[in-house]
Amino acid sequence: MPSFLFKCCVCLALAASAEAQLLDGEFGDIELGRELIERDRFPTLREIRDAVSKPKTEFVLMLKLYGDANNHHLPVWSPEGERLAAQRSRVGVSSSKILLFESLAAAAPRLLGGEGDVFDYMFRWGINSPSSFVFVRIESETGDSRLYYSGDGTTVEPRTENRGKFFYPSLYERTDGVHWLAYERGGEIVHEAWKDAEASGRAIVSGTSPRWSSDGRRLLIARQVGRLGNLPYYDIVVRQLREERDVVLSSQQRVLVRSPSWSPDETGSAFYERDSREGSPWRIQFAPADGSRPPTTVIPDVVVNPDFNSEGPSWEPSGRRVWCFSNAHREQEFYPLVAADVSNGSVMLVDYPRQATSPNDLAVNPVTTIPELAFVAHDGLTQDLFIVFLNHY
Amino acid sequence: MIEVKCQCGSSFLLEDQWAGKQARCPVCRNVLRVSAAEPADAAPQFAPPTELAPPAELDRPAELAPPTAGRPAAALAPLDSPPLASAANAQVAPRVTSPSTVAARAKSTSDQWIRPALIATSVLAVVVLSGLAVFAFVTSGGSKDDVANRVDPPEQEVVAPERPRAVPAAPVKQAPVDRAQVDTRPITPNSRDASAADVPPVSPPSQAEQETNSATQTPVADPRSSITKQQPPRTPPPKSSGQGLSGVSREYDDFACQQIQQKFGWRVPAAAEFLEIDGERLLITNLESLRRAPAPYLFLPRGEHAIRLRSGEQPLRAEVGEHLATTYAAMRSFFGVGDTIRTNELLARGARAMDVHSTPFLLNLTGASYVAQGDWGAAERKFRRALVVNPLFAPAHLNLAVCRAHANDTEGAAREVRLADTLNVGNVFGIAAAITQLRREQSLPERDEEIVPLEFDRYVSPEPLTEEDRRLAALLTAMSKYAVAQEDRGKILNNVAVHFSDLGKTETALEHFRAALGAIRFAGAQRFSLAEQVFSHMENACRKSGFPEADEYAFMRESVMP
Repeated sequence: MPSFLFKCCVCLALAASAEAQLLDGEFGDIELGRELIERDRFPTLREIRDAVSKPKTEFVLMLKLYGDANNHHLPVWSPEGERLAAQRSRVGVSSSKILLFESLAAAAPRLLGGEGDVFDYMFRWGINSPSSFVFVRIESETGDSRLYYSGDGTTVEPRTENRGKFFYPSLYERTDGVHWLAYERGGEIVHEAWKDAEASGRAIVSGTSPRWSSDGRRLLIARQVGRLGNLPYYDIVVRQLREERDVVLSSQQRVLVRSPSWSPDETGSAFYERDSREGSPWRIQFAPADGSRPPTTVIPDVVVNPDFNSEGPSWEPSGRRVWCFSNAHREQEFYPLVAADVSNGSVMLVDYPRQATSPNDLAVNPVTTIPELAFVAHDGLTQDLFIVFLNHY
Repeated sequence: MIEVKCQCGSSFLLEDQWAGKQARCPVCRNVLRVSAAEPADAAPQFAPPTELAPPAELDRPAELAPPTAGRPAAALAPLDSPPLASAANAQVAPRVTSPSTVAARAKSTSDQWIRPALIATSVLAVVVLSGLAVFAFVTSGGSKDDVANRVDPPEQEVVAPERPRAVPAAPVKQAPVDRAQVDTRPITPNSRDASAADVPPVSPPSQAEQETNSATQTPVADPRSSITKQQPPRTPPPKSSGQGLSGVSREYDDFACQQIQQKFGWRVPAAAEFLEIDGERLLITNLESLRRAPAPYLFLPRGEHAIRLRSGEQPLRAEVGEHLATTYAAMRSFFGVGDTIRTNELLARGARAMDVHSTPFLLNLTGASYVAQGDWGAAERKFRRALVVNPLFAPAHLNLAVCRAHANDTEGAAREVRLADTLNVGNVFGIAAAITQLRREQSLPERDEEIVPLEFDRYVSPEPLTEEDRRLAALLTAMSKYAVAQEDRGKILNNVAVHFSDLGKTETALEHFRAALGAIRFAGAQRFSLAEQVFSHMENACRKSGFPEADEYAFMRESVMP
């Protein structure tokens, strides 16, 4: 009996303590409807106030956005930061699906294309559009790939013919109803434009991984310049469409580069690079978009996705730093978040709950002024999708 | 300089700024196209590069000085836009189109000689009628209602209907409405949401009450006039009937206003870099801030319009079949603006919308009612709220300019009157004369080319925020997006508001409380009790700061019931 009374008193004391933590008018019984990692409840206002006043960048909240019996990869934020796409691969089966969070409040994502036997990947949200997107689908029978487009976010239509190799689509939507699509076709970058039933296209240059600038006047490209044995090798260029001129960003040495991404203000680009020697680590390079300076190494030995290379280094909205996971800073299976300043290479490490291991595919929300980071990691057998909030940049 | 040759044989030199625009030959009065300077885009197109130039027939013509032998002709200032002509002479055509759809209806106009004649006639009419209006105002003795009238006055030239107490709404074609954004459920889930015919509506004070009130009015000198004006007492909000908002008319409620907005407005997409209407670029920048506004609609006058948004892209076509000024005047008349403002009707509609407005109309008119009551602070807050909903709403800019002028903030008044001017496209609201008058009072030129940036944060709240404030708001707002249940999202947003309320930053708090209500509206069965609590928080915050809006929120709190 005394122990029972003691327990009651403890519970009452805890409840009273929790109530005392709340400000007048504050709601305390908040349920996100998500699995919170290493936290049993949503933080109070006092706790948030305390967190944002700390000078050091620290973890505030982590949640599992989605997980099932499959592995998940490559979260991709929409340009306005309100939607998220990811890839799902079925364990043991060569299939890939696109998952869409058209609202971050959705309990579960929408599966694009149903459960059919297709391989969907290389998803990209349309620029200047509230709903459009493109992706690549590999037809299981022929092994050919086709590009698919959706304007309204629901109806999906093929944009390329049934035969061929089409990769890395990048979509730019003009306000006058003209759609611009850049993609790789058999080793060439193609620029296609269409409006209603009318379409035209032309090859620009040999290369891969085109990325539109926000004004539609430039393309960031991995341009093919030769071959290293069987492998094509590239440099990173900015193609000025009007002048039909290339500004070379990467070094002239024979290195492997991939996955260039624009800085938020599009005055520069970050991309992955490594030596041609097998097994050499990837590093993040930064170069100004006008080619005024040679590229500099921002951070060496970073974690990159070995199976899908459609996504490049992830920038914070200010453009000051790129965020990644680094092999150089790992602690066994735990990789802290790494933010590297592109101007001087200084590095900031941020811890988060160690329940998630072997993380990859870090994607920073391009809009929010506080760090809202999506990534995949293992919490058990499968690779799930997580969101981490930090107190400030 | 650009050489322009007319078919009559005359030739002129124009400054480069007229490239791509139209000019009128002073000899034969023919409208000429000044060659565009914009280069063609190298990327694939479907038409020759000239498609990048704005369409000729929709440009406003510039007036050229008569040629002088041997000397280049100086381009005069462009003709005033012919809004008064359009407003005064256009017939109300029932042809309506949904302006949000891109309708490529190329159509050439052939009224080049009619338009200048109409412009001249209308300008003369404005001068005469304006003089009559000023004479009437000066000799009437004035009142606070006149101030409210002046804050958002209708154009005398607009063909407006008589001002009956209840104006039947213009036939509204059901424009497509995004149902996901519109909550048509009443706050009260009464099985019979009775029409106004079933339950007596909230009525304005009776004649006897008005006479009693007028006897107790305290004369207040209007700082902007030598005429002493009487200040009517603040109209208290109605007591809740205990039946929620059953019986509140839906005329000009938020949903009806959304239909008006979609009928006459053109939603500006987030990708817009500038706004060029019929070849004339609006003097406004920083359009990316429109992404934060829930209803960035640009209102257009009757007719067909070419709207261009980005360099190197083709204009979009939009057609408006009726005069907004007529509908707007009817709305103002319904709510008694310029007479005895039906404040209770405005409050009831705000309550029905749970103070989450999808259009700026009711907020703007509520601001006018506060001006009529002498509450300039509350009025300005309403006008700013209207601009948070839609930063392109010219009447709220004009009204805010008046408020800023009243506060002796000449810079603020100048900025807002310029925004009102540029956004009152084709005098779509019928407020051009009021803008001109305010320009004169602010010692601004009648027209200037000053470009004004849209500063969205300026309208949200003037309260300074610390870095910690911003972080906290950003963090909790970001987290709230992941709440699966809307009630939890509402609770998180409420907590953001509580933070600011706790710090005495009431306006910022109210903005976040409204965000919470926006989520709670779509919540489950808890929404009534949650809304009641949030309204209570808002009322308390307002009372602490001495905001008269506390009464509004008390009314709303009492009106919410399961």
